[in-house]
Amino acid sequence: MAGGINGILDSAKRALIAQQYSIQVTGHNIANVNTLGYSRQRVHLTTSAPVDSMPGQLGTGVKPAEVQRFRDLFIDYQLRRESQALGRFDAASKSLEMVEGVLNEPNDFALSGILNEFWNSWEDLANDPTSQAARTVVIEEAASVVQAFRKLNADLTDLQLNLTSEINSDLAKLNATAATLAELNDRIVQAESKHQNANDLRDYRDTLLDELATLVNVSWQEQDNGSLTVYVGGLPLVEYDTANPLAMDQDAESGDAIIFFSGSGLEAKVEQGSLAGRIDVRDTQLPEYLMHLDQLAMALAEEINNRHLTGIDLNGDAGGLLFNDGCEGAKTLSLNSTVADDPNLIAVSADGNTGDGSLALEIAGLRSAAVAELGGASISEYYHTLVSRIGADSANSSRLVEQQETFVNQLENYRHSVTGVSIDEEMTNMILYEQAYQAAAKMIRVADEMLWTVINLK
Amino acid sequence: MSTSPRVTNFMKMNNILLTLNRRMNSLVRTQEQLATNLRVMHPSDDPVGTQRILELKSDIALNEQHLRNLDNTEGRLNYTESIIVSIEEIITEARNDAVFTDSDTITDEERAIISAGINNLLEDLFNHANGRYNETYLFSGTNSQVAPFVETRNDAGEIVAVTLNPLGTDGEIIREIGLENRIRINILGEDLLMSAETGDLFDVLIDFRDALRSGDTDAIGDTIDRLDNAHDQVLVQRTFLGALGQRVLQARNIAQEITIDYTDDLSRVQDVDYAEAVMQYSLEENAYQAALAVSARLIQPSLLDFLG
Repeated sequence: MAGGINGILDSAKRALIAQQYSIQVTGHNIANVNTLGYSRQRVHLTTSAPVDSMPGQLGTGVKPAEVQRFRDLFIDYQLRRESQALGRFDAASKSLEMVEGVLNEPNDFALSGILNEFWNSWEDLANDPTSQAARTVVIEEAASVVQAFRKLNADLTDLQLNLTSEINSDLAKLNATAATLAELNDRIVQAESKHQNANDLRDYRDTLLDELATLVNVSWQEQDNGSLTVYVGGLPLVEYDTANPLAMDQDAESGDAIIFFSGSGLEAKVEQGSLAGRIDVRDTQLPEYLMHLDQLAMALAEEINNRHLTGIDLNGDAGGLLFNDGCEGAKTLSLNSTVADDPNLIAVSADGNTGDGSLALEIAGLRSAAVAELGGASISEYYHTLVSRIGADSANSSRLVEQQETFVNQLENYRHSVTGVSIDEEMTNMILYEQAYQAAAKMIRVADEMLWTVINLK
Repeated sequence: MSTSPRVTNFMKMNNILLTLNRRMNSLVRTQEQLATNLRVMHPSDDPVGTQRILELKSDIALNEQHLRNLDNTEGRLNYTESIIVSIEEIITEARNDAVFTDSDTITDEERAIISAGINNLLEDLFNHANGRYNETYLFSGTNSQVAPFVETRNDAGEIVAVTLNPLGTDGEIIREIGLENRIRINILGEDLLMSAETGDLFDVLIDFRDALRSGDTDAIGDTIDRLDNAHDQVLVQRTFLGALGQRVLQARNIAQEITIDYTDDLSRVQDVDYAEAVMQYSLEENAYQAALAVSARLIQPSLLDFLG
């Protein structure tokens, strides 16, 4: 009969075991207070099965039903969605900061200052058209302008190359994470098929998913067996124990980055995460900046050449090209070496006399003259607008980063409010469980005394 | 019933770190501004301001060039004027001689001495007329590498005729001395000395010298009028120079004002307001220290501290 003294001993024993379990889990919590991605756990205690007896059902004590982990799936979803956006803004913002570094404006030694010196050298030549010194300075300043354009072009192109390798290293990280996720899926399904809560494995899987969300736009769905299917752009990246790695290719024509599943060859739509941020800058912003720079270089070469061709040089011959023909952009801007080697061939005389420098004044006037190819802006204005534009892009993206960072930080706190370990709380629980343990032990002593009493009955 | 949210140790740390980090960042930024005295260091600090800075710098560079052009222009104009003054002195001296010799009481010897003096004046005039500034001829227009006047000399080495250089002595020399402000700064030799209406000063002196030798009193008598006409012509050019001088002076005033205004504007857009930045720095420093102090107290205690 369960209602006897043995019953008391049994239920006290169960209580001891249950409180011991709880203290062990509390210890696990305290040990993992600083573990990344750890969710606090709690032993779910229920009453053990009662027995039927005369006055009514008699309780038999407590039993630990399962070890639960605290997790809010909705906050997980929100946090990962916002991490994707943060990853994108952050990657773009860092790249744009580097673009600003390349420009190095506003600085007298950057292109804006070099252009100012270049225009001024023409005015000095206009003041003294027969001066060898003034002519040499014009050639030197022109060479600096060419050099500055080419360097800007080369540096921006370098940034594009850097971004390509950053995209590849993002992909490597992403593929490694996906592979681990697939492995974890397998282990979790195996553990849970034996009715075990794979709490710690799930924590690890959630952390990996968090990391994935900073890299690329992911969505996910948990299957009934506990395995997690992860999608990128609607196509599976991880399906049960299989990962489908991503790779990058370049569009044959535009050179734009294409991310695709290396197994199926299907394109993955990358819209968020650091991958998207890098692709944005690599394929949208940088080409645009480079294009503006090319426009500027072409306009500069063409406008100066057009004027220079109408002039007469110091030898009395018609002026030639100052910049080589066929300039298709900043990269191909170059000085005509014939003129560069013999400054006397700079043609600034309109009437043919050596003392006439009126053409040099015309060329110097280009600094503020409207140029049709530049949409009616002058060469200086066009460049200043480009710099301001790049600055605005960069400022905008770092502002987005800051906002998004605050938001993500808040969500992280929300999540921690559910999953995080509070030492105060664990200490309170520990005392609670310890007292329960002591009380259960006392029950055993009481039962023991009761037995003793019965045995000594005479 | 609403429950107050759980606050864990991680959340405390996370918040503390974010706050400290942001405070530190703005502190470092203000410090950087103070150290460089620049408010705008990258275009993203102020995109619109950056554009303004670049425009102002470009305007200032142009204005500096205008000031340099003005220096060059003033030098040349001053030199031109000094030559014209010398030519006027030559005319005055020759006129005095003409007045003195236009008399029956002058002896042949005296005429010979004065004739030699006139010949020297003629040489002087010729040299001045072919005056050079900065290795260019002043009066030969844009053809600045050739002398405007060519002389013919007799066996005795005396000038018997002066003509304009057939290689060409015309064209305007233009200087830009301000925005949309371009002036012509050269006087042509023929306008100065060989005007069709007022005669050729070289001819006047040659004729005068020769008349003194031959004792041609009629010719000597004509000289005074001819010199006065030539002087009028020189005066016209000198007046032109004077007007130019005025424009140059005005342009310099404007350029100097622009220098002050634009530098002021640039400083306003580009530079740190020092007083404000220092104040900002102290505020941020205080905020940072306060955050540190609060954080230090916040992270210390837990229930553990009170459990025996």
